Amino acid sequence: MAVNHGPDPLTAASLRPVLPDTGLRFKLTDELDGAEEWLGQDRAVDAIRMSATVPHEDFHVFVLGQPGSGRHAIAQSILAGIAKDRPVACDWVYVNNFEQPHKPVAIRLPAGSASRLRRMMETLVDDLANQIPALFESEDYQTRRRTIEEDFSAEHEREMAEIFDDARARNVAILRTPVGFSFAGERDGNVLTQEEFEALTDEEREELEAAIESVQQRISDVLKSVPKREKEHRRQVEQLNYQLASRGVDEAIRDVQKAFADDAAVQRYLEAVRSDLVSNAELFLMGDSEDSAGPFPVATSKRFEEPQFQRYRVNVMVSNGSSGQGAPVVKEELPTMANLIGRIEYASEMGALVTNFTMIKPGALHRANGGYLVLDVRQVLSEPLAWDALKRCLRTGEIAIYSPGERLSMVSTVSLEPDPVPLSVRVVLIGERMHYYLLSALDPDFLQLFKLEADFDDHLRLDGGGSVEGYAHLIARLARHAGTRPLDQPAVESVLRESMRMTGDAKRLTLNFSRLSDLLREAEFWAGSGGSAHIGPQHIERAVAEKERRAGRVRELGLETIQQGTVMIDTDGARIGQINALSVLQIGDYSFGKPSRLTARTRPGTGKLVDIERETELGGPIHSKGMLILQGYLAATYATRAPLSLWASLVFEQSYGGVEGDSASAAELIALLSSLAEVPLDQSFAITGSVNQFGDIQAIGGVNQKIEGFFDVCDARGLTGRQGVLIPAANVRNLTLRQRVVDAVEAGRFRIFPMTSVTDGIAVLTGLEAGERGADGVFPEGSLNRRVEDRLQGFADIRKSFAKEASGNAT
Amino acid sequence: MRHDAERAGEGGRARVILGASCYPDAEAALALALELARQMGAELHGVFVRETAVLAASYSHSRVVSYSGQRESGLTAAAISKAFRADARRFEGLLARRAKAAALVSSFREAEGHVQEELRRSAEAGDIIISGFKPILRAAGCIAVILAEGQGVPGFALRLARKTRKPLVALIACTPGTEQDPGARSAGPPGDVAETRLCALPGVLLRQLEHMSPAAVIVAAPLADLPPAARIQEAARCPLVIQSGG
Repeated sequence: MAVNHGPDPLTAASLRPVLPDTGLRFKLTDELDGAEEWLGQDRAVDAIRMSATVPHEDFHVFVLGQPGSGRHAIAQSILAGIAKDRPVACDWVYVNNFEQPHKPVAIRLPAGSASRLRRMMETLVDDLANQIPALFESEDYQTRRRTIEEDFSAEHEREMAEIFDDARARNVAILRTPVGFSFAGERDGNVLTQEEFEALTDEEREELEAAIESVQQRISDVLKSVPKREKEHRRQVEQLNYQLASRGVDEAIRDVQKAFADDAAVQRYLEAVRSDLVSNAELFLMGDSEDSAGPFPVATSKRFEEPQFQRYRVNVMVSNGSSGQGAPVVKEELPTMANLIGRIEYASEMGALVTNFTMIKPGALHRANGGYLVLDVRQVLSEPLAWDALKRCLRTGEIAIYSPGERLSMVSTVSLEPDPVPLSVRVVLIGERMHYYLLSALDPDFLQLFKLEADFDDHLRLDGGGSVEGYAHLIARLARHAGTRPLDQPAVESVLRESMRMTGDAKRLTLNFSRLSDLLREAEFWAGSGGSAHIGPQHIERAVAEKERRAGRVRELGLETIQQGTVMIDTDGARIGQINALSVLQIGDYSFGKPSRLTARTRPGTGKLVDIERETELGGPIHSKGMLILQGYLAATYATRAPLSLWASLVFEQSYGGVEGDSASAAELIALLSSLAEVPLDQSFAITGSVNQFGDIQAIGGVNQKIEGFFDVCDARGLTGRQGVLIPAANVRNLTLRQRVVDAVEAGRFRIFPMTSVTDGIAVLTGLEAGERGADGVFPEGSLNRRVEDRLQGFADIRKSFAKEASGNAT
Repeated sequence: MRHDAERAGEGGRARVILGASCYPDAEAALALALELARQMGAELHGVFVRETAVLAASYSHSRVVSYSGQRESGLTAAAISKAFRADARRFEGLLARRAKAAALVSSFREAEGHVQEELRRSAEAGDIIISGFKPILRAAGCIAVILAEGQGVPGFALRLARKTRKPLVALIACTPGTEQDPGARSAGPPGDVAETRLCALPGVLLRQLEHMSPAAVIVAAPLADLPPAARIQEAARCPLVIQSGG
């Protein structure tokens, strides 16, 4: 039998990343300045910068990356830096529309002017509240008013006096009755009775009746003219009031007009205010209540707060005067529809909901107008109608305020239709990659509006120009930001190794600042507990170990069941068709490896390979794919001259959950070959790796956890020096193993073999050479492949003899 | 004259008696009556008078002009009587409601005769009698007070003018030939009386009233020296307030 020991095991030095010569020369991180916040994120940073400065519309940016990568902080930092050099955004106010009160008018003002306009309008109302009553109480006004009153009544009284004089002269009595004036004859001051009237001569009676008729007609004419006279009287009084109010209003409003002389929109508004003030001057004549007219009268200021003057208020939506220099950078943490586009509030009055322009409240888009708005896409998408409202505003270039009820036609309350506010904002949406790709695929508007993507790298590539020194500065900055004590240089190196472990690659460092920061804070805790002045490597390792311990309950439970023999895993001896495969379990953000027994049984058949996991619907599609590849390898390698007359079954023993992935396909193939060749496999090993149709071993994930998982089982039983793990050679660069494994390898008590092809695995696990087909087309005698092929030929012969026998019986 | 009013209260509760022969006249003067009753703490007494002259002159029923100037015809004595009854009920109801709201004691009666005569008959010393009258024009002007020579403006008249914010015009019925006497013009505090006019003859007084368009006329001077109350009201065409001497 040909003997082959396969590839050489890896040295201990190759199991942990070797930090490049960093040139780090510091004792403590205090001495480091701290790196740029966006180390390793040049691509994303450039995209954000471009979005923030490009003048074209719709160049909003979607920042995508993993949570914890500093997307929010970096985006806001970049925007703040750019915004401070950009012009301050304009102010916006809503004012009353005097002609159509349900359509409030939006006015744009230079930065800082909104509050000034509001204050000046309040002062105007206060001034008029004092001036107008004074004007109307003035002697000038009273005299002119009296003249009108006297002119009005004088003519009427003269006519009435003449009628009564005439009636007296003609002996006609004018009587007041419930139904009006009644007219009767009169003699010596007494009204003629019916009898006396009838006793009059015809001539006297006719004369009296003519007199009565005349008086009756005249009084009727005078009374009928009263409404017309009163109307004319009212007109004259109103004209007088208008003239007087105009004088007062013009005087008072002049200051406001001068202050905003260059603003046409404000001038138009002030003209409307002027007209309304003059027309409604009586509002200022509504006296204070009697209560205020006591010995301690209230101050006459703040009259603008009274309800009748609400129409002259200025509702400041955005005031940038006090927010410092530069364009606004707004982050909305609760991007509901109302918080984005603003809302119209209502007040309950006598059971009815009422509103007006002073109850319009701004949204984040108003505040960010002229600057930048930062939103978390998950929050926007999870708020009803918020995404729709945001897109509508960006598409139309204006902010129209409406309520969700209106949007869904659910309410018909009388509401406002405020002027839309023109919008000029750059939106920075922050989310995960899944959000970006889903929106790209499902929302046709998305890519039209968000033309730029800022894709945050998860890792810093050390072989791609990444600098360990820069990373050390980053750690120093994170430590400073987290408020921890400084780290010494070995601690920083320890963090670097842990960072590589997080990436699962010895040539990459994680850019997940959140996890790094957590690590530093935990190390700070242990350093503090130990009374250390700074964080050392032991504190970093303690933090890592404690984190694993906290999350390790399930891992320990698994290990315990193996130790007890409940879950059967052999770590010594040899057995045909049985192999230790490795899998990774992820619980929260903690993952660990675990060995599983994989077995294969074979017999003559029709070429069927039964994957029991798939048959029982416990195997995932990738696992099934691995099985089919394996089948392809078998058929192409061994069934070249006869049909593959095999029936084989493969199963993960004591596995009751789902199995996914193809990292066990190499183990499955070797177990199957062992069963076919009837060659026992060394149980001191576990194996991981996927195989292709040529038998090459391909890289898999979680290699460190898998090795550590099998190591822990062996370690618990006692390391023999023979035990080890076979891994794909392509995964050697991913090795960042824990120190306990490295130490065991160093001491020769554990081994790790790299495999490039399945023949490497066969050599290690069986001690046999796989064998290559010779010029005669057969594998070398004694090789594993020869044994496999002979067995398969035997199966084919059996099948053939059965077929003949079956056809003989048929004839 | 406040003293007179106070004297009237000595023998029991003073009264403000409001008389009218139709509802519009009563309604127009009720606010005035309530204010005076409130000031004096007096009982408010309403008298609705069915004018006998109207009832007796049935030939006049077909010659009516409504208060809005429309000529009415075809009214019968029965219709007039019915209108009197309806107005009386409305007056009584309105009086009771307003008095209750103002926490005043009120009473009411109906009578037949002539308004001024019925009011004089009802009044006792210290009572205030008001003859209701609805002015044709809504914008009535001052409060006119008719004084005797040397007489001061009664306190209730001053308070009423202040309360209603109307100017107080004093008409002094003086002896002919004293019109130029400065002493005759001092009717009250200068700030309270807006204007003082001297009227040497009854005709001059009536002519003044005809052209003043006052909101109310208060007669403080003895009636004996003045034209009849009905004639004064006909000239002024507004509610007439008389302080009864008993």
